[in-house]
Parts: sequence; C-alpha cells; structure tokens
Amino acid sequence: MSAVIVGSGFAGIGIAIQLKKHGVHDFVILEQAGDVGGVWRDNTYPGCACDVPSHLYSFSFEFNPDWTREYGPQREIYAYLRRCADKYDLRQHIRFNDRVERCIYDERHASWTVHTQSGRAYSAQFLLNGMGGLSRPALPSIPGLETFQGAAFHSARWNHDYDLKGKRVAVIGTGASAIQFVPGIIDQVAHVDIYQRSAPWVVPKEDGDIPAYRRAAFGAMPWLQKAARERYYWTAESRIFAFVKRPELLERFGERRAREYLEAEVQDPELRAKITPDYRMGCKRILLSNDWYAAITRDHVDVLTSGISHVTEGGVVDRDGVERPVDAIIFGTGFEAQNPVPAGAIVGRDGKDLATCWGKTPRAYKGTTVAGFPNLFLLGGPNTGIGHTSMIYMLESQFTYVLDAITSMKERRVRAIEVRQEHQDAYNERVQAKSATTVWGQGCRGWYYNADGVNTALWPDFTFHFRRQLKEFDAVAYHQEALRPGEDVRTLWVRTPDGETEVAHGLSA
Amino acid sequence: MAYPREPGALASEIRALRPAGADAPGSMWPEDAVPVPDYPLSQGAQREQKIARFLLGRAREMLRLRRMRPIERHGRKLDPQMQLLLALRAQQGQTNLLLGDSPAQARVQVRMGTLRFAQAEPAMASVHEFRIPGPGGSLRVRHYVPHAASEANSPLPLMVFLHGGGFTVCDLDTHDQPCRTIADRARVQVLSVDYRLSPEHPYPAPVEDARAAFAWAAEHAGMLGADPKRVGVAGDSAGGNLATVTALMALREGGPVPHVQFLIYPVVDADWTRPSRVELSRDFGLTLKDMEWSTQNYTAFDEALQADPAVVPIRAKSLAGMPRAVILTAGFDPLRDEGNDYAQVLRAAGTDVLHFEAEGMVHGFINMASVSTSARDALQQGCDQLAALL
Ligand SMILES: Cc1cc2nc3c(=O)[nH]c(=O)nc-3n(C[C@H](O)[C@H](O)[C@H](O)COP(=O)(O)OP(=O)(O)OC[C@H]3O[C@@H](n4cnc5c(N)ncnc54)[C@H](O)[C@@H]3O)c2cc1C
Repeated sequence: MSAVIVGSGFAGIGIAIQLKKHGVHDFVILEQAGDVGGVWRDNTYPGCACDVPSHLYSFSFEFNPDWTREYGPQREIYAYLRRCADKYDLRQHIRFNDRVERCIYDERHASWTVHTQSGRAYSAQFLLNGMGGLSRPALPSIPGLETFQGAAFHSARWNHDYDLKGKRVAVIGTGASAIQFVPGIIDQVAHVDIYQRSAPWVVPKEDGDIPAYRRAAFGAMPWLQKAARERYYWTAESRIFAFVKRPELLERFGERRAREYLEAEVQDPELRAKITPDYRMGCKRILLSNDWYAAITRDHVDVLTSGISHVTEGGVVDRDGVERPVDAIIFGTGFEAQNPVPAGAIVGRDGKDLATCWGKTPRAYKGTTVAGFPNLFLLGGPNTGIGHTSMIYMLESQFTYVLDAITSMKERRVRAIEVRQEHQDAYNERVQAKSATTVWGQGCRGWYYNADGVNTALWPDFTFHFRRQLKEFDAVAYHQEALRPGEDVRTLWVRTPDGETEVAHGLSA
Repeated sequence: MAYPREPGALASEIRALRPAGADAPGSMWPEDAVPVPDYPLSQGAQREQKIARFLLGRAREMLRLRRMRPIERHGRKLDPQMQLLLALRAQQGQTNLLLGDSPAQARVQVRMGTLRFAQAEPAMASVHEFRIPGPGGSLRVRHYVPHAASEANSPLPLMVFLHGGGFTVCDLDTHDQPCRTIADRARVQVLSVDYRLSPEHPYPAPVEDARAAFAWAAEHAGMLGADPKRVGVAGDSAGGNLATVTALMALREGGPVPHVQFLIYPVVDADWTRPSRVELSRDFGLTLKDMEWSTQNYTAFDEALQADPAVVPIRAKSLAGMPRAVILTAGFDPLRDEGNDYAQVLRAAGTDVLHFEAEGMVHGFINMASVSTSARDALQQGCDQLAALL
C-alpha cells in the first residue's frame, strides 16, 4: 500500500499518524507551505482561537493536557499540530513548499500520479486529499481596490509588519474571523469602520483559563481528560438537537437568549437594529464571543451596513456615496468554501476533472469517495462540515473508514475501488432529504449552501450518525478491481524534473 | 470500472492459476480476465445473518411465539421459514420485493438488501470476470469453475446464467451465491451475464445481450475448459424469461441452440388473470406493483409486445424443438401458474421437462439460501434435477 497525502493540516497529519499506527509507511505528504498546521498556521490574526473547546478540538489519539484555555488560542493549536508531526516522525514524509498542481488517475496501474509545482511527479496507489475547505482566502472584487495606497490584507494572511497603532482601519465582513480580530486590535487603532453585509448571531463563549492544577491532573490521569472530552462532545451534540429535530426551538430559546445578550451589551437602539440578525438562528455559523459587542460599541467604531461601492486611493466609498478615509483595509471575508477542490487539480478515470464534474454541487459518498475517481479519499469532503462541534470528530470518522478500506483491500487483493454511482446518488438523496427537515433546509443562505441554495457543505444530522456510517468500509457500495495473479500494488515513487526516478519506498526506515 | 487490458500479459499468469480439471488442452481465459474479489460482510451484516439463521432455524417456535398461524393456500403449505422471513421483512416496512422510488434507488436497495443476506459460498476453484462483445458495447461476464472440475475426467457443461430482478435491478453480485450453488451442486461451469437493464435499456436490449452472451459461450466453451457440446442457459424470474427466449430465438433464427434450459420461477406470460398472479401478488414478497413496474420498465405495456413470444414465450405458436428443460417454480409465487403451465406446454411440444414445484417457497427464494435451509434445499433439488438432465 502506498499513498500521497495532500496537505498537512489536521486532516493530513491525522491520517498520516493513523497510517503509521497501522504499519503503513509508504506515503508522502505534500504541503505547499513551509510548515504543518493548515489553517492554524495561516490564521495568525490577533485573537484567533478555536470556538470548540480545545479538549474536543484535538485528536482523540493524541491528548494534550496542556491547553491553557477552554478555547485554545491559535498559537497553542499550531504548536500542538507541530508536536504531533514531530512525535510521529512525520516530517521525513513531508515535502514542504511544493504545491500540488495536478493529480491524475492512472487506470493501467490503478494508481495516482501527483504533479507538483517543482516539476516532481509522485505516484502511489491512493490519493488522500486533505487540502482543506478553508485554506483559500475569499477576496471580494471591489472596484478601485488596486488603486488603494494603504495596506490591505486578508485575516488569514495577516500582515504583522504593519503597525496598526493609531491607524484608521476598514474591516470588511463580520464573520467568524472579524469577530475575533476586531476586539484584538480595537485598543491600538484610531478608528474602525466595520462593513457588515449580514449580522451574525452571537452568543457568549464560556471561555476561561484552565488552571495549572487541572492541567496537571489531566497530565497525570488521561482518563480524566477523556471524561472531559466526552462531556464536551455530548454538550455540543445536545445543541444540535434543535437544529436537526426542532428548528422552532432555536427561535424560542436560542434566539431569545442571543437577543437578550445583545440588548444587555448594546444600548444604542440604532446600532442594535443594525446588528440584529434578520435570519433564523443556526442558518449560518453561530458565533461565540465575549468581547465583540463590547468592541463595536466603542466610540471609535462605526458599523456600516449600506454596502461598499468602491475603493479610492485613500478610503472606502459606501453605496450612499460617503467616502471614509482609511489607512488600512482588512478583509474578514472568509474562504472560498464552495470550491473545495480547484479546477484541474484532481483528474479521475477517463480524464474527468473533479471540480468540473461537481460544478456548483460537490457530491461524494459518505463525504469521502467519488464515483469516477477510484482510490481517492477526500478528508473533509462534501457534507462533512459542522458548525456546532469539532471538525476533528468528522475527520477521525473518515480516518477509520479509509484505514478499513485499504486494509480490507489489501487482505482481499483488491487494487482499486470506486464507489458505484447509484450508491453515491442514493446517499446524497438521503442527505438532502434530511437537510430539508433541519434548520438548514429552511431557506437559509451562506457558505453552507451553493448558488442554488443546496446544502453541499454541512452534515445535517447528529455527528454520531456520521461516525456510525463510516465505522466500517462497505465494499458492497463499490466496484472492486482485483489484482491480477502475480501483480503487486503500486509502491511510492517519485520522478524528479531531471528525469530521475527515486523509489521512495520505506521512507521511515 | 473498465479493466485495463495488457494484451498477452495475463495468459501465462492465469494458466498458473487454473484448476487442474479446467486445464484441458487449449483452455484459457480471455486476456483481460481478472479474479473477482469477494465482498466482505460487514460486522453488522454478519451479526444479522447469524440472528436470521438462528431465528429461521427455529421458525416454527418463532411463529408460535408471534401467534402466527400456518398459512395454507389450495392445499399448499407456506414454509415456516418463508413465513417468518416475510414477517420480518414486513416489520421493516418492506412490502415490495423490487420497487423503489427510482430504478437507481431500487437497484441500491435491492443490492444492499440481497448482499446483506448473501455469502461467497460455496467456494469455487476459480471466479473470474472479463468482457465479451455485445450488441450495445462489451458485456461484463463472470465465470465460475467449481471444484468438481478438477475431479471430473471430462470437461463440465457450461450454463449461461441470466439474473432476475424484473429486468431492472440486480447484478452479478446479487446472484453470486446462486451461481456458485448451481456450479457446485449441478457440477457445471457458470457464465453469469451483466446484461443491460431497463428502463434505460428496454426490450429488446436485454434479449440481445442474452443471445450474444449465449452465442459467445457456445463458441468459446472449449476455451473456457467446458464441454462445447453442452452449453445451456439458466436464469431466475426475468432472467428465466431471457434464458428461454434465448433458446426460442436460437431455434427460430438458426445458430447454436442451448443444450438445456434451467428456468427458476420464470416470467413467461403477460396474463394478469392467472390465479397465482391474482391471489399471491400481495403479502408473499413479489407484488402486483413490482410486476407492473417491471413490465412498465421492460415493455411499457406495449400491446404488440404483450403477445410477442420474444416477451411472452408461452404464447409462441410452436415450441417444437425447444431444448430439454428443468423448471423450478415456487408454490407461493405469483408466477407459479405460468411456470407450471410452461412445463406442460413444453412437454406437450415434445420437450423433455423435469418440473419441480417447491411447494412452500416464495418468489426470490434462491437469494435467501444463506439464511434459510429450506430455500437452500429447494435450490439444491433443482440443481440435482439439472445434473440429472445434463
Ligand atoms: C480561523 C479558523 C477557525 C476555525 N475554527 C474551528 C473550530 O473552532 N472548530 C472546528 O471544528 N473547525 C474550525 N475551523 C475549520 C477548520 O478548517 C477545520 O477544523 C480543520 O482545521 C481543517 O483541517 P484540514 O487539514 O482539513 O484543512 P487545512 O487546515 O486547511 O489544511 C490544508 C492544508 O493543505 C495545504 N494545501 C492546500 N492546497 C494545497 C495544494 N494544492 N498543494 C499542497 N498543499 C496544499 C494547505 O497549505 C494546508 O496546510 C476553523 C477554520 C478557520 C479558518
């Protein structure tokens, strides 16, 4: 068995650890950046932290007793992933600073050939895609932006060299990132204009330091940490009940609580009106924050809702024609979530391009495999996203499935598997039918949906249902192709630009 | 998924794999043949099968516990295992055998449901898949060689098998176990055909594929290590129809005629007033809705076709010269009467017919053999008759 893993975020690192634990060492991880960490390497903006308790937002097979806060800051999560990579000796498997450009399925050898920017070609039996859905910053196209003379950057590409002290800043977007970095910069800047398209639902975050004695206890008694994790999991999962089963409860309880919180924090009726969401709670990610409202009620903050017309050399002009001079523009505009795989990046059987096949509506079987793309596993594929609990729970469910698939293939001398189209379709019909009965089926818009309002991103059910479905590899839903007598599966090899072929087999040896 | 072909590369490797008995001079698989991997049963399915076997093994007690009376119709007694299976299915809300929201959905449901209750048994000397030429593109076929091949001192007969499923559902995998049973018990090689399905490919596509597969088999039996003089057709339900229609057309239009036909509860008529179609098309698995849906998919109830022997072979003006037949019907099957009648009609036309009605069985029983001993016994009896006739 051999594999090429793309990306070294939670997905790539996690599956690599699992492969090693199962005795598979014949793999390479390709990473475009210079380090592991994925979003937690890229998002260095002030105040960046996870919004799921850290004891849950971490690998179940790699506990970290040392989280200093309930909701760990980016620095700690990044360090955690680096530690994982070191502990399992993954760095020798990783090729940094080499971007994957094109992965092509080779039917003759039942293997994937992965071409990178540096001109190398890696080949292996499996392609495990951990490119991440939120790694490409979305930048709105605003007329005049190129003429702007000040600093402009996206929250995921924070410009730390730029000193914000005493500056006038425009923040575009009020999503999960902005709500974290605005409070983080508020004390330094002279003025902030926040351009809001739609107001988020915000609820308080039960955050706090984890005292040293508890960290010590977790270190000494892993079962204690396991118990804490279970508790966090079920607390989070109980929240989803309303989303999935009783959307009307969200209105009665969730929205009321959020509104009370807003009213307690924000006195100015005009501002209140502006920042009160006009859609059903849960439609978009519910944001957790204790300091967002406090920040935006400060005197040097303006919340603007009329939209942006264009940008000039020195300021931003809104739809009402008012120009507000700024020194810097920070985009809190999120990520290109609708295109999880770039066009031309993954080419399957018969030359079919994954992004083209998907068009506006990415579809997979169990969020993991795709008809027409043998031996490809997507980690965090379509309809595996969640807003209420840890993404890592979903990824780990997929790890189990992938490992079971490749083990079972090896045992039965199967060289390729490909999900049957009808099974993929039937699965997606079930997911969409389920989606329709949840809060997400009630005419929401947002990054969870594609242009036609179809839920392509979110898992619309309890996460333990997802896990149960991926507990075992269900070969009956697949076409299987056997190894021929005497044939062996592809081992990992690399072709360098000088035409040399190095067999990378046994990287760990 | 199309199998890659590497011309010539496989012949020697495959020869090394070939069981001794199939190793008759000149015998060889086509170049693109690949062994077929089994489908592993999920742990859940293994558990379910165990439970089902346990329950069915005590079917009488279970029925008594559920206060279910034995069922009798026209002197026939429903087998307790069948009765319990039907009750368990009904409990899960499965009232039809085939029908689904769409053909694609139905295929998924039936496949999952069937494979949950199937096993890759009995073991074969070899199971290979390859492609043969077909009128609408190449056809995938699966070739079974039983262990009996190595003991026999002459080449085994070859049966071309056409699976059932209302012309709409099922595939090589759903009928893997029945094919293995036939190969093992009747001591024949089996070539199971992945013919095109309706409604995407309505009549005559499935018939054309069946005929092409038989013609290919008749020509290449020797290459497969089988006896070229004994190549027959077999099939269940809709597949039984395709099997006998293949024989009929071969007879009419010239070319090799099957040596024998093995018809398991075949569809041979379009007469909806036959007593079994009227009385048994509810509560016994195959329903009126299933049958109407299949007919719709296959012929869209076209009037001319409903009288065409290529669709309803029992209506053929003459069946003289039809190859000898083993006909296996089920007592609690809507298709029972036409199957029984067909046996009579063939006999009247001068054909040797071994007919056996499995009194207590329901439609589709050959797919229940891994959990129901009575279903297995009934299929084995049919196979024994086939062996006797070959
Ligand atoms: C600011 C922020 C906060 C978040 N907070 C939470 C949270 O609290 N809870 C939660 O559950 N989820 C959260 N998420 C979602 C988060 O994306 C997932 O939890 C998880 O980290 C995804 O991991 P990943 O490995 O799939 O993707 P990523 O972390 O995006 O990793 C993908 C990796 O692939 C690399 N890559 C991409 N394309 C290529 C290429 N072509 N060639 C080579 N390498 C490539 C990237 O450089 C990156 O290193 C957050 C996301 C962001 C952006």
